[in-house]
Amino acid sequence: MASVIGVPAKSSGVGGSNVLRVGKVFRAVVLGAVGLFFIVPVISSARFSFTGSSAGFSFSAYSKLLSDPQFWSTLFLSVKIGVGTVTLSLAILIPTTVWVHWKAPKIRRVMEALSLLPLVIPSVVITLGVITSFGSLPNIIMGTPVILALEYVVLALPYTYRTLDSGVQALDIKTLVEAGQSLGAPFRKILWWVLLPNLKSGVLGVVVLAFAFCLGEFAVASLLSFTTFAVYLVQIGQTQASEAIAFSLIALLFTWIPLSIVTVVFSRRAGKKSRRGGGVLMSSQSVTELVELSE
Amino acid sequence: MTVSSLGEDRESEGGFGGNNTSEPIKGSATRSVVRFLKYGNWRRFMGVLPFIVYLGIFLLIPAISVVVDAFKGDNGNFTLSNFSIGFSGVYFESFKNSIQLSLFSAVISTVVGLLVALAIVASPGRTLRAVVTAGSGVFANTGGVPLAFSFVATLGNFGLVTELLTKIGYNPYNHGFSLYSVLGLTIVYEYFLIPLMVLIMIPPIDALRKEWVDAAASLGATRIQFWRYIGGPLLAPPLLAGFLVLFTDSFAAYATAAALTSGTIPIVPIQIGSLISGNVLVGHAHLGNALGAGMIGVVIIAAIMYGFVQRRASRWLR
Amino acid sequence: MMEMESSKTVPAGVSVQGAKVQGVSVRLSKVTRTYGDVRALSELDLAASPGEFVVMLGPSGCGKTTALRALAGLEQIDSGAVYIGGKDVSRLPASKRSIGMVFQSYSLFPNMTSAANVEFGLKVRGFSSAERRKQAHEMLEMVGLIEQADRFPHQMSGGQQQRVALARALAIKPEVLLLDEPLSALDAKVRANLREQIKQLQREVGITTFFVTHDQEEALSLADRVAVMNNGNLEQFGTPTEVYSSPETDFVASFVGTVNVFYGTVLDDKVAIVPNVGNFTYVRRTGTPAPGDRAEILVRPEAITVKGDLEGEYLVSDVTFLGSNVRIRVQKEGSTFTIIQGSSDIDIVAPGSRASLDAKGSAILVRSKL
Ligand SMILES: Nc1ncnc2c1ncn2[C@@H]1O[C@H](COP(=O)(O)OP(=O)(O)O)[C@@H](O)[C@H]1O
Ligand SMILES: [Mg+2]
Repeated sequence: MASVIGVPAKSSGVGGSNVLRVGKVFRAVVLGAVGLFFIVPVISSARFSFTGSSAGFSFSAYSKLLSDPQFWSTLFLSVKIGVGTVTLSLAILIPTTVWVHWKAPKIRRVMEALSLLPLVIPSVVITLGVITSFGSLPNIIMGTPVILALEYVVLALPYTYRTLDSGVQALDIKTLVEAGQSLGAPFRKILWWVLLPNLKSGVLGVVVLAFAFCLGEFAVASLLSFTTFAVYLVQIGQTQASEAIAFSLIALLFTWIPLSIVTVVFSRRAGKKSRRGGGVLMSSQSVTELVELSE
Repeated sequence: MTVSSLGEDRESEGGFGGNNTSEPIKGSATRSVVRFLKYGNWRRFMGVLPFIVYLGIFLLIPAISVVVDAFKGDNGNFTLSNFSIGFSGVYFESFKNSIQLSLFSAVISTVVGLLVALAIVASPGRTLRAVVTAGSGVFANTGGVPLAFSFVATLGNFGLVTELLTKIGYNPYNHGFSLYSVLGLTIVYEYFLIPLMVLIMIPPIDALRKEWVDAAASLGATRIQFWRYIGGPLLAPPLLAGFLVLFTDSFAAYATAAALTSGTIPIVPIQIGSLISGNVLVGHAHLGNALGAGMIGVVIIAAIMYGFVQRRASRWLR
Repeated sequence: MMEMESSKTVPAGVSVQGAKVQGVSVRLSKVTRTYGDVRALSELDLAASPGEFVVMLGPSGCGKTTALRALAGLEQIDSGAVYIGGKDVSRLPASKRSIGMVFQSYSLFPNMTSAANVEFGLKVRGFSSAERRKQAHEMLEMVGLIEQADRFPHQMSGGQQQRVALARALAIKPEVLLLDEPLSALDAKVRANLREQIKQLQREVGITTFFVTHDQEEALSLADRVAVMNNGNLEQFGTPTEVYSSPETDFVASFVGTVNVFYGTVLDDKVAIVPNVGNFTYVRRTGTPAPGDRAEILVRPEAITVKGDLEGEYLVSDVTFLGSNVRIRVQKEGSTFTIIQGSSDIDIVAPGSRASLDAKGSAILVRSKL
C-alpha cells in the first residue's frame, strides 16, 4: 500500500482536496482492470445472445424468447407481484417515515436499523421460516403469490425505507404539517395534498427499487414454488443457454437503467448537502447507505 | 448486520426536533412517568406501530420459528439431533464451503474495493468519481439470476473468456477451474461485492484530512509512518466493518449459486433450499431449520464483531 | 527560562533537555510558486533573525499559507531557496526540516489522545516511551492542559485543541515554529486569551516563529516584525509601529489600520497642510509630491481631534463608545472620516451635530492626488 500512496503527483489546479496522492499509473491500472471485469460479462452476454454457441449472427434467441407465451405470463406474474409490493410498501412506509420525522425524530436511527434487519437474516432462512410458521395458513395466502408480495415488502425494506426516509428528511415536515393544521386540514389530507406531492422523488425511488427487487428475486419465489420471471429464467437456462443469456442481458439492462437514474438523482441531491470532513469513521452511516439488491 | 447501530442512537442527531414540550426538564422521576402516560409521550410511537407489527409478523416470527423448530424432532419433542446431523458429514462440509467462499470473496472485494476507492477519491476531477460512484451503486445492485447467466456467457464452458484463453493455449477447464465451483462463485460474487466495498470506503477515505498528513510530515513522520499510526487506524474500522458486511452478504447469497449450479454446489443456503424443495431426510423434517439456525448463528457472530468494531472506533468518533 | 541567549554552538535539530531552544535565522530567498495561472508567491524575500516573532499579514489569498508551507517543506517551490539556520533546506522534505507547525483547525490526530498526539513526533524519532511520556507531560503542563492528557480531540474545545496542537509542535523542539491562522476558528474571548499565551510561550522558548493571520490587530499585538503581503509579494517588513505609523506603500497604508484620506497641499519637506484642519508632519519618500503640490494626506484616526462647532464643515454621523476610547465618524461631501478619542472627551459631540477637526499628530503617508 505504501507504493500506492507513495507516488507523488504534481498538485493540480482543481480538486486536489484529498490527502491521498495517487499516481496516474496506479489509478489507470486499478480502474482499467476493475472496469474490464465489469464490462467483459456484459460484452460476453451480448455476443452469446446474438450467436449462441454456433457461429453467425442472429436475433433468434430474442425472437424465440419473445414468442414464448410463458415469457409473457411469468413477466406478467412478476409485474403483478411488483405492483402489489410497491403499493403495500408505500402504504406502510409513507405514514411511518412521515410520522418518525414529525413526531419521533429520536427513534429515527432505531427505525433505520430495523429496516436493515432483512439484510441480516438470509432470505433462504426467511423462506424456511415462512413455510414453518405460515404453512398452515389458508391457501388464499400461502397458495398464491400474495405471500410473495407480503414478504417482498420486508425483504426490500433495506432499500426502500432509506430512500423514502431521506426523501422525507429533505422536507421540513414539521413546518409543512403545522402549516396544514393551522389551516384546519386533518392529517390524512395533509399527507395526501401537501406531503405526497413533495415526496415525488422519494416515492419514485421506492417504486423503482421495489420493482427491480421483485423482478429479480429468485430465492423466495423458487423455494415457495412460484414460477416468476426470475424462476422461469433459470428454468430455460437449464436447456437453452443462449435464450437465458439474452434474457439475462435484457433483465440486467432493465434494472441498470432505472437504477442509474435513481442513483444519479439521489447522489446529486445528497451532494448538495454533503457533510465532508465530519466523522472519519462514518461507516455505520455508509453501511446503511448500501443498497444491495443481489438476492 | 447493522443491528449494532441500535445502541448508537444516543448521538447528537437525537437532539433534533426533540425539544418538545413533553421533555420533562424539572420534576421528579415519578412525575415524569405520570406525565409520560398522561400526556401521551407513548402516543408518539403509535405511528410506527403498523410498521413494527408488520416487521414482527413477516420477519421476526419466521426467523424465530426457524430457530425454535430446529430443536424439534418429527414428533414435536425437544431434540438436538437436527444439529448433530446438521453439523456433520456433508452438511458440515457445506458450512465449511460457505464460510470459505464468503471469506475469500470478502477478502478479495475488500482489497479491490479499497484500491478502487483510493484511486477515485484522489483523482483530480469530479467526473471520474461521479461515474464510478454511480456505477458502483448500480453494480452493487446486480446479482442473482441474470448475473449468473452473464458469467456463464463469460467463463462458462463456452464463454467468451474461456474461448479466448483456449485460443492462447490455456483452457482453464483443463487446469481444474470450473465456474460451477466455489472458486467460480467467488469470482461471480465479486461483481456485486466490489462495488459495495467501494461505496462503503469512499466516505471514510474522503474524511481523511490533509492537515493530518501535513502535521505528521512536519512532526517528522514518513508516509509509511503516517499510514501506520494515523491513516491505517482510521481506515481500519470501516474496512473491517465493510468486510463483515460483505462476508454476511455472500454467506447469505442464494440465487446466484442456485442459478449457476442448478442447486448442486454444496453450500449451506443451497442445502437448505434443497431440503425445502422436498429432499427431506426421513426422520429429520427439521434438519433445514437446524441449518438455518446455524446460518443465523454465523451472521450473529459477524454482527457482534461488527458492533465491537464500531464501539472501538466510537471512542474517537465525534 | 534558563539562561537567555545561550551559546551559538547548539547543534541544529532536536535538543532534548529543557524547554529553551536556540533560535535560528530563517530566510526565504526569491521564492516563487505558481498554481496554473495563479502566482501564489512571486520572488518572495523574507528573513527572520534568531528568536524573532514574525507575523505574516495580508488579505485572504495573498499567499501567506503558501509561503508558510514552502518554509515547512509541505509545498514545492518553483524557484528560489529556503534557508534555516543558514543551511539551504530547499530540497529537504518537511519531515527532515525540524519544523513545528500549527494549523488553523482539525489538525490533531483524531485517533489519539492529547498525550499521544504530543508524543507522536517523539515516537517517530524513536524516543523511549518513558522519555516520550515525560516530555509530553511537560509540554501539556506548559500549555495548561495536563488534565486533558487522556482526552480525545473531539472531547475538547477548539481552544484546547489548538493548545494541544501547539504543545505537539513544540514537543519535537523544532528550530522554527509555524502557525497558520491558529486562532481564526476560535471565538473572540478564547482567541484573545490564547494569543497572549502563544506570545508568552514564544518568549520563554525563544524559538523563531512565523505566524500567519489576516487579522491586523492580532498581527500588531503579537509581532516583533510584521510582514505585510499582497499578491504573493512582500509589501513591507517592519516593526508593528513602523508598519502602522509609516507604511511604505499605499497597500500597507490602507490595509493596516483605519486611515482617513484628506486633500491638501505639501508645504515643505516635513509638513503637509489640510485646509481647516491643520498641519501634519510626514516623512518624505520616493514618489511624495513636491512642496507646493496638491496631495492626498493619509491620517490615522488618532492623529485628529474633533470638537463641536456650529459652523464646522463636518457632520457627525456616528459616535461609538469602545470602552477607553470613543470612535466618532464624521462626513463631508460624501467622504467619511473616522476619529478615535479618549472617552473622557465624549461630551464634545453628538450625532447630528456639526463639528470641526484639528490636526494632532503626523500623517502616515502623503501621495499625489489620484
Ligand atoms: N493547491 C492549490 N491549487 C491551486 N491554487 C492554489 C492552491 N493553494 C493555493 N492556491 C492559490 O494560491 C493563492 C494563495 O493562496 P494561499 O497561500 O492559501 O493564500 P492565503 O493563505 O494568504 O489566504 C490563492 O490565489 C489560491 O487560490
Ligand atoms: Mg491561508
